[in-house]
Amino acid sequence: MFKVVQIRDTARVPPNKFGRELNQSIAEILQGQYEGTWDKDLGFILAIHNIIEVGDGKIVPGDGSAYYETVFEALTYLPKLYEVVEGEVEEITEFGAFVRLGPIDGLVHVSQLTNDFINYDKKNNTLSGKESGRVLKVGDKIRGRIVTLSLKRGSAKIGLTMRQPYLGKFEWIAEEKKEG
Amino acid sequence: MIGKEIISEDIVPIAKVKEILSSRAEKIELGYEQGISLDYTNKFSKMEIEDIEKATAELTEKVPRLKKENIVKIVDIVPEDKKDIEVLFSKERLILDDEEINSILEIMAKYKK
Amino acid sequence: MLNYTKYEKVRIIGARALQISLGAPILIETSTLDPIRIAQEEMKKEVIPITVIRD
Repeated sequence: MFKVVQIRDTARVPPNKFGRELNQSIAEILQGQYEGTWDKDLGFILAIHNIIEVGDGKIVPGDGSAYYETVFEALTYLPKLYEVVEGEVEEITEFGAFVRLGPIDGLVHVSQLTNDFINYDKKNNTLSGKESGRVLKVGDKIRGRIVTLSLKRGSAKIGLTMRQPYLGKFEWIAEEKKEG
Repeated sequence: MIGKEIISEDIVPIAKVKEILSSRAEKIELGYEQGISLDYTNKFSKMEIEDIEKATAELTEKVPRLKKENIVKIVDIVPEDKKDIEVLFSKERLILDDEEINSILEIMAKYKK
Repeated sequence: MLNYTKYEKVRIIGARALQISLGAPILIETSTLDPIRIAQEEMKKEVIPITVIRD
């Protein structure tokens, strides 16, 4: 899920950034420092979008930079186990489909697609069910559930399943509803 | 770890992410993950921010047992029937009764695009 | 006005000279290129944006 997190931190502003609008300088510094990184508690830091508070700058001996105590808001993404998510198929491979969930992709392994036996069609770049004839291709929108999650330093591996009632490609869910 | 102290954490709906990233995109070019995330929120946010706020208030009032996390999932996925809600809650401790489920569906039907 | 001791003054000039040498914008008009001299001139004109917190 996405979160907006308020964080207190010290920003180090080097002298060549003096003389410009301070909040702007601090925003740029924090953005350069944190955006695109993984935090073990917060997850993926997608954006630093709001500087709420900036205190007085402090100077320390031997360092020309000024240190500002600041409070800012960050937009983060942290996948959660058993969370229901929706996304678009980005890539089809022999072993499954990669689905975009926001800043990162999750994998639906072939064994987690349907109750059917799955064939990989290399030519058309699709995965299809042998009995049901259901086809999954790039661009399809799906709903899945996160069933495996490994958050390591610098990345996350997300495993999804669609093999539960009312999960799957949007069209499959619609069919399922019609059948009742 | 980032920062010295986490002051607060607030789970936000996809529509809010869309708002934050699109206002950022007006000022400067987005980074790779920001770009694909904005694209994602354009495709999957199903309600307007104002409607989400109203729906959130109504859900909190009618079904007080819902946590913020549940409410955000509801306004992201926008369940259309009982089965959709069951999918969202099948791994939760919280078991909703029919009256609560109907309240959620009514509120969603009212605000859905 | 600024009632600094000589120790405080030299600390401020030192800190300011370091900032200038690292590219901080200069706050006065001057012909000199030496960061320390620039800091001294700024000190004389009382334009250095640094204060001493005594505790």
